[in-house]
Amino acid sequence: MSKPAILIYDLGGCEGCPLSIMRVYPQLINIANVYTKCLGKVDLDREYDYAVVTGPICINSPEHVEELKKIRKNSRVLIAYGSCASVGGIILYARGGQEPRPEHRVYAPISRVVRVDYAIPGCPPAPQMLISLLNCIRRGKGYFLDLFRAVALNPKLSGFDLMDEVVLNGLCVGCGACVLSCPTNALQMIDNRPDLIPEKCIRCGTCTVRCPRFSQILIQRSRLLQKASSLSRISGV
Amino acid sequence: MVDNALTTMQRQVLDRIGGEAVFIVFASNGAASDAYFVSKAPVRGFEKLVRGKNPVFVVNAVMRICGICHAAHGIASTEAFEDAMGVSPPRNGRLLREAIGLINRIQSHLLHLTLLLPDIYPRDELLGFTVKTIKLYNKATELLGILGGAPTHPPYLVIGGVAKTPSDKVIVKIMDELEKFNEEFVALREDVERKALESPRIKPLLEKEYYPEMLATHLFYGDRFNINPSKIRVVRYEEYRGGNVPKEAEENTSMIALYEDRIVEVGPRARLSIYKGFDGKTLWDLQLARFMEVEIDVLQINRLLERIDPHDESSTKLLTYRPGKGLGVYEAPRGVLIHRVELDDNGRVSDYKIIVPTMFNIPHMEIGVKGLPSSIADLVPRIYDPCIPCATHVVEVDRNE
Amino acid sequence: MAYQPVVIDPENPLGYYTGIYLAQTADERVKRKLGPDYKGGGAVTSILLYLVEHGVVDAVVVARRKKGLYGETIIAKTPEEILEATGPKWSIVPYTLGLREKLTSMDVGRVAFVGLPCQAQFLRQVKMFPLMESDFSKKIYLIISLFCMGTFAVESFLNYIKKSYHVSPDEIENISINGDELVVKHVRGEIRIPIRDALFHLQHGCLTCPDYTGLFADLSAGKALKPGFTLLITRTKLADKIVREASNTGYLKLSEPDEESLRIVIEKAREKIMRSYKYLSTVL
Repeated sequence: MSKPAILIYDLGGCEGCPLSIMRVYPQLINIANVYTKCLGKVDLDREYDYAVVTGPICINSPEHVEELKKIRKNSRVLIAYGSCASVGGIILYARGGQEPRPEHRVYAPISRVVRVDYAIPGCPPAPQMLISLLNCIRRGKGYFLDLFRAVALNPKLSGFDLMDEVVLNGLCVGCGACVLSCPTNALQMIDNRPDLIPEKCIRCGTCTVRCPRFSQILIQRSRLLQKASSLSRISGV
Repeated sequence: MVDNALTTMQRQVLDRIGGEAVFIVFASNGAASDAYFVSKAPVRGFEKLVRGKNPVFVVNAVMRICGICHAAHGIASTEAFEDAMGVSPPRNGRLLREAIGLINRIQSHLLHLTLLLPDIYPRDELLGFTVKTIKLYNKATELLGILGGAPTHPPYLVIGGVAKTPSDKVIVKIMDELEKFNEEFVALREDVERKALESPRIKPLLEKEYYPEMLATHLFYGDRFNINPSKIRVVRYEEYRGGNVPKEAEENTSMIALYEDRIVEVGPRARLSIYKGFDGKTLWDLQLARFMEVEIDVLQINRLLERIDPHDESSTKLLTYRPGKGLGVYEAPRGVLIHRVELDDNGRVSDYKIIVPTMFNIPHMEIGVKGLPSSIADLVPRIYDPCIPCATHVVEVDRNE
Repeated sequence: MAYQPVVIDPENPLGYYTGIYLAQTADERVKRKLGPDYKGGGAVTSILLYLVEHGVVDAVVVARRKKGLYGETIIAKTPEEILEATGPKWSIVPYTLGLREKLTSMDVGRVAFVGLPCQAQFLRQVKMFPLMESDFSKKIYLIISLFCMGTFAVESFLNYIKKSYHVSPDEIENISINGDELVVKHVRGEIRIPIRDALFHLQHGCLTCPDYTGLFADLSAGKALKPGFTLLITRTKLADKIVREASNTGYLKLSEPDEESLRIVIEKAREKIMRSYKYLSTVL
C-alpha cells in the first residue's frame, strides 16, 4: 500500500504546532509522505489524504479564508491541530485595531469556516499525538476518535466552559484529570474540586477533552447535532 | 536601472522560513536589483489583545505570539512587568531565566538550520541530515521541557523569576546532556560548513559582502540600559520604502523598525560583532555566527547552572499590583526584543508595545540580495531567519517618549 | 498497536478483553495485611508487589486511605509502601499537580497506575494522545482500574453516618463491604448500612459515568462474587503477560472465572451504562 499524502499547513498561528510536528518528522516519514513549508514548497492545488491545519482563521482576511476552503476541498480528512485551529485558544481574545492591518479583528477555530473531521486541542499538542491520531484514524473507531470528532462540531471549549458545564453543574467527581492537563497551571484542586484561576486560562481547551464527564457530554451532544442536521436535511429546512 | 537591460519581476512565496511571506525580486540580466519582503500572516494584534488584562495572563499570552522564540517573549515580558512593579527576581531566578532563554536560542538556531539544509545538501544526503538535525533539536527541546516546564511556551517563566528550582540531580543531568549535545553539534557543524563550501546555492553567499550597522544589548541576555528605546521608530512598510511599492507590498502585515532613523542589523552577528569581535562580513557569516553562538551558549548555560543553589527560591513570591511603567529588553534568537508596558491604577495593563528583531532585519534582506543571482534570491531572507509570527504584532511607538 | 479502541456499548458491557481470571493472593504478606475477615482477593496488591519486586516497574501510583473515607495519592517504590495502600477505596482521590511534579522530577522510568475508571480514561488519553508536551506519557507503563459503581460525596456520606448512626468521622477506622451491606468499623464497634441507603450519597457525576470495569485500563480488577477472590479482566497482551508472570512467580493463584461472578459483573456494567444514559439525558 502506498503511503498517504499529508499536508501540514499553518494559517497564521504562532508556528508552535507545526514545529512540534516537525519533532516527530523522523517517525512521520515512515507512515506518510509529508508536505510542509518547513521543509520545502507546498502545493495547495493537489489532493491530500490528510490535511493538518494549525493556527486560527482570521475571518477578516479573505485570502486566508480562501486558502482554507481550498485545503478543505482538496483533502480527504481535515484535522484542526492545536488549540487555535480547534477551539480558538488565546487568539479568541483578539480585538483587532492593530497596525498595519487593523481590519484583522476576528479570529476563530477553523471549524467555523469549513467542515473539520477531527479537532485536537493542545498548546501545542505533544509531537507523538499526530502519529497516534493517524494510526487511530486508520482503524476508524473508538471513544477518543468520537471525542475529537465532537470537538470539531462543538469548538466552544475552555477552562471557563469546564467550570460551567461540569464543575458548577455538579457533575465533577474530582478525579483530577483537568488539573494535570493545564499547560499554564490555571486549575487547582480546592476541597477535591477543581477551581479555575481565570487570569491564567488561555482557552486552550485541553482540560475539557481530558475531563471524563465533559468528553462524554461532548460526544453525546455531537450525536444529537448530527441527528438534528440530518433531520433538517430530510425536511428541507 | 540600465536602459537596455532585461528587467524581470519574480514573486516567490517563501518556504522554509518561520511564517508566511512573499519575496518580490526585480532583476536585470538575472541579477537582483531590488526586492520587497512582504509578510502575509494575519495581524493577530497581541498588543491590543492584552490591554486591560492581568499581568499573569499577559505573560502567558505573549509567549504565544511565537512558537519559535516563546521563551524570549516570556522573558522580555516578565522583565517589563518586573520593571513596572518594582520587583526583581532572586539570584536563582535570574540564572535560570538566562539559561532557559539560551536553550530557546539554541532551539531556534537548530530549527533554522533544519530549514536551511535543503540549500546546502544534495538531495540524496538531505533526508539523513535533516533527521540528524531534528534529533539534535529534540535534545535541546527536552532540556527546555525540564528547566522551563514545557518545550514550547515554558510555563515556569513567571513575573518575579522562575516557578521551579531544579534539583541537584536534574542540574547534573542537564549538564551531562549538554555535553553530549555539544559533541554531536560540533560534528554536525563541521559537516555543514564543509558541505556549504561545495554547494552551488550557498556559494554566492560566501562571496557576497554585506555588513550594515549593528545593534545588540548583551551577548547572552539583554540589557535595557544598553539601548535607548525612544530612538527606535516603527514605521509602516510603505512609508519606509518611500511610497511607490508594488501593489502586494502595500498589504504587508509587518512594520519596520529604525534606530536613530537608520537601519540596523540585529541578531547573532550583531551580538558577536559587538561583544566578541566577530568580523564576518559576508552573508554566509550570518550562519557562522549562529553556529558560534550555539557553542558559546552551551558553555554559558553550564556556567549558569553551576551557580544555581537548588535549595534557594527561584522567584519572588510577593507581587504588588500597582500603577507603573516598565521596559523589558531581551536578546531573542533573532536579535533585540523589546516589550514595554504601562499598568493602570489596579495594576492591569493599560498599554503594551512590542518591537521584534525581524522588524529591524527586513530592510537588510531587501538590500543584501542586490547583485545576487535572482535564482537564489530566496536564500537571503532565509539566511536572515525572519520570524513572521513575531513580526506581525506591532504598532507605532510614540516618538516623544 | 496492541491497544484496541474503546467502544462503550451496552450489548458488550465489558468492552474488549483478552482474558478474565479469578485470582487470589498467594502472598503471605498480603494475606496477613488483609486479615481473615477480608472478603476481597488482594490480587491487585499482589500484582503490584510482583511488578516492583521483579523490577518490571520503578514505582506505582496508588491511593492510600488516610482516615475514614479520605485518601491521598502516593508514589510507592517499596513493598512496604504498597502493602500500606491495600484495601478497597470509597472516595476518589484526586490527581493533583504535585503528582506530575513528583513524577517528572523523580528518577522513575516505568510506572504502574492504579485508579478508578475515570482516572484510567484520563491516563489512557495521556498515554495515547498526549495533548500536552509536559504529559508523562512515556512513564505510564500499566494502567490498572478498579471496578467502580460510583464514589461517595464524602461530606454528605459522613454527615449521614453521623446523623443516623451517631458515629463521627474521626471515629471511623475502616469501611468494608459485605454482601449488600457496608460495614463501618469505628472505635466503639461497628455499624452495618444497607448499600441501598448509601447510594443516595453518590456523587452526581458518577451517575452519568458509563464505565464500571475500567474500559480504558490495561487491567481491570474488582471483587468477585466468591469471597476471597478478585475478578481480573486483562485488556492488553501486556496485562495478560503480567498476570501470568505474577502467577508463575507465586504472587497469585489464578483460576477460571465462575459463571455467576461473570454474570454479575456483566449485569453491573450494563446497569451502569444504562444508568448513565438516563442521567446524561437530563444534563445535555
